[in-house]
Amino acid sequence: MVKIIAKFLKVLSSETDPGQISLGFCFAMVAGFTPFFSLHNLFVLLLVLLLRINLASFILGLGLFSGIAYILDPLFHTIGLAALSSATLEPLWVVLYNMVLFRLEHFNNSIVMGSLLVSAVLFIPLYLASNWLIQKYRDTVLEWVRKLKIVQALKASRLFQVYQTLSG
Amino acid sequence: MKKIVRWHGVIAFIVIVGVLAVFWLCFVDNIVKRVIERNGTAAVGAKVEIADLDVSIVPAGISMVDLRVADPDRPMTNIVEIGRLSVSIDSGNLLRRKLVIDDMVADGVMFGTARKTSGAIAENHKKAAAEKQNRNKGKKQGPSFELPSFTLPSPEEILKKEELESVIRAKKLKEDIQTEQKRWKERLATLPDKKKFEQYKARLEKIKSKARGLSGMLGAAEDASSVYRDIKADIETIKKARADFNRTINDFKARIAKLSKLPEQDVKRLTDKYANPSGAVSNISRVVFGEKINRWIETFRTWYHRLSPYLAKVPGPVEPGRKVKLKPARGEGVDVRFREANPMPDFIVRRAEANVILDLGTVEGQAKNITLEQNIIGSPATVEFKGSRLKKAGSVYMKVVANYIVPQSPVYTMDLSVRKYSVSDMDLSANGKFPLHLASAVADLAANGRMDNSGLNLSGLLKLNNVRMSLDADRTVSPIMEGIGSALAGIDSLDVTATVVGPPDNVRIDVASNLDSIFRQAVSKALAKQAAQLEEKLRAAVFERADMEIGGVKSSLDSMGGIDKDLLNRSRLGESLLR
Repeated sequence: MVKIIAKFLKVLSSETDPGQISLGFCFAMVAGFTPFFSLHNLFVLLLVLLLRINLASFILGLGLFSGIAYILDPLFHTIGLAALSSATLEPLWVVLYNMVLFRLEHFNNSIVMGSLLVSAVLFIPLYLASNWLIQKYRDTVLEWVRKLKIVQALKASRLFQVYQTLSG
Repeated sequence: MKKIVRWHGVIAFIVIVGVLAVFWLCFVDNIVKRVIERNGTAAVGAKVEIADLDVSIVPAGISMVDLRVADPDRPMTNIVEIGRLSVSIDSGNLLRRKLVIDDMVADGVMFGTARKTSGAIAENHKKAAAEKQNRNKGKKQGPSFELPSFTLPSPEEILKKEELESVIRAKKLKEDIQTEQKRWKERLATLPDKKKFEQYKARLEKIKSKARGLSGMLGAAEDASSVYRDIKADIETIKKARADFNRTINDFKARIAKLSKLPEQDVKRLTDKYANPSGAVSNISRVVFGEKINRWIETFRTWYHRLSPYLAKVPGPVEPGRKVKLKPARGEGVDVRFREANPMPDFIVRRAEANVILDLGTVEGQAKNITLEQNIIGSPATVEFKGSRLKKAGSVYMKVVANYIVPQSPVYTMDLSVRKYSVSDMDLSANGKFPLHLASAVADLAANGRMDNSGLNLSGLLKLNNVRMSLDADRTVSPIMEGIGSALAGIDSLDVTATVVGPPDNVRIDVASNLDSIFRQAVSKALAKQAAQLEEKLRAAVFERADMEIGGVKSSLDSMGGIDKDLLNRSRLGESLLR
């Protein structure tokens, strides 16, 4: 875990495209919010590995969003149930319900549906927000942080040594 | 494109998925075995164990070796043990998250086998015991079957609790006589008496003295005629009263005559009731077979309560649109169901075959449409067992149909037929006072039953032929036991009918057989001498009481004799005036 954090900090401070880091976060949100052993998460994993997405941010984000998902379960259930009970959407659900792929996906589960909808809605806003924050961090905060006494102390710590080792 | 795509990621993905697939293939047998054992144990409340399990992907199926399900109430016994169980699963439906078992074959099914190690689960065992205790709290205990007492009571004991008809009638008659006596005394006061007739005499004397001269004689004749008419009328009134009185007396005499026959009737009635125990042994079949039937009903009740929670999950009618499961477990959500092009239950065993090893031989079984969602398939679940030329029986047939297509009105029916079953060494009655043992017999059994919302309704007929029966008790204890023992030795065939009716927790069990009449005769014969002695003593005691009361009645009637004499005297007095 320490290595992952260190790697993430390195990436955050490097020249890596902020979009790659943000996408890692966004996909981590999808995989973290929704039940882990879902069919769509296999697709998420494929995308994460296939596209140039930062893996450290994905792994870190996965832990973070899985924790948040536990708290948000009741909200996902409410949203999912509302969507699945919607009379307007019913014809669509009926079609999907009769398709093997979607039955495997378990889309008719209130939490799967609710978490998917929430993560889909938050995907782009999170991407944009992460991009902006990373940029801001690099432009202003990073220099200021480096001068902080706590950071100076951290640099002397084991964490920083690991960081240095990794950075070569 | 090169900047966006990381082609070596595809290799990583394939490696990850491949590793997962290999891992799954290597451990799937163990995973499925553990899942079945864990879920089965939780459902049954006792250990469910599988010696070996093999999952096949193409075609989809599972085969198990030595599946053992322990009995939560008797942990050293298995409820069922299956030597080999093969299940073939519809893989297409499995992808739709439906477990559709096309075929299930169970070889070497045995019930009630002994276990080497305990099948109890500490926590669940306690829970099950507590649940059982709770169930029993609210449940009526099954009927207890007691052997009737064959001791004859003494005449004093009988007369202490019995009313004698002769005494009751005598008391009533005595009261009636006394009432009538009082009434006649009152009536006598209103009838012409000696004083009135003396007045008539004085009037006649006066008329005689006035009869002088022609006119006097004419007037006297008219007066005498008037007095004559009055006397005549009074005499008639007295005669009529006397006739009434005699009728009353005759009526009382007839009642006394009838009364004198009543003590004998009392003796007969009480002798029949106390010296003839046929009433007490009229349902000995219930004593002999009742305990066994009650134990079967208890077993049925235990399974009924065990299966009720599952049957309670039978889903309601399918709504045209969808249905929603309520109360989700945390993190699990709810599955919303929609119309399906080809509706199919979430779980169904379309067809199952089994060969069951029973004490009487191996029978073949077949089950169809085992599912909780019968409303989707529109067919009831059926289980059928049959076997012929068995080790101990000519043939066996059983069919159970569970129909909850309309979940609000479930109907379960059962038909059972066993022919030429060789029974040997069977304890018919575990009653210590009456240990009845069936050494051997050939049994034919036919039973059918139905259970619905109104309750249970079972009836059965058991015919036992070539019966060899014995009473494993000390026959010297009483002549009754001796008599019964001899009677049992003479029994060759036995017909037993039983009915069980009512709600499962409170059934009424009725049992009858020709054993009842055999017992009645044997007991009556054995008790004949004692009965005769009791009858004699009872006669003496009854007559003593009744004679005392009847004597009182007669003396009351005798005391009414004075009234008749009085009426006769009055009548004669009147007639003497007319001369």
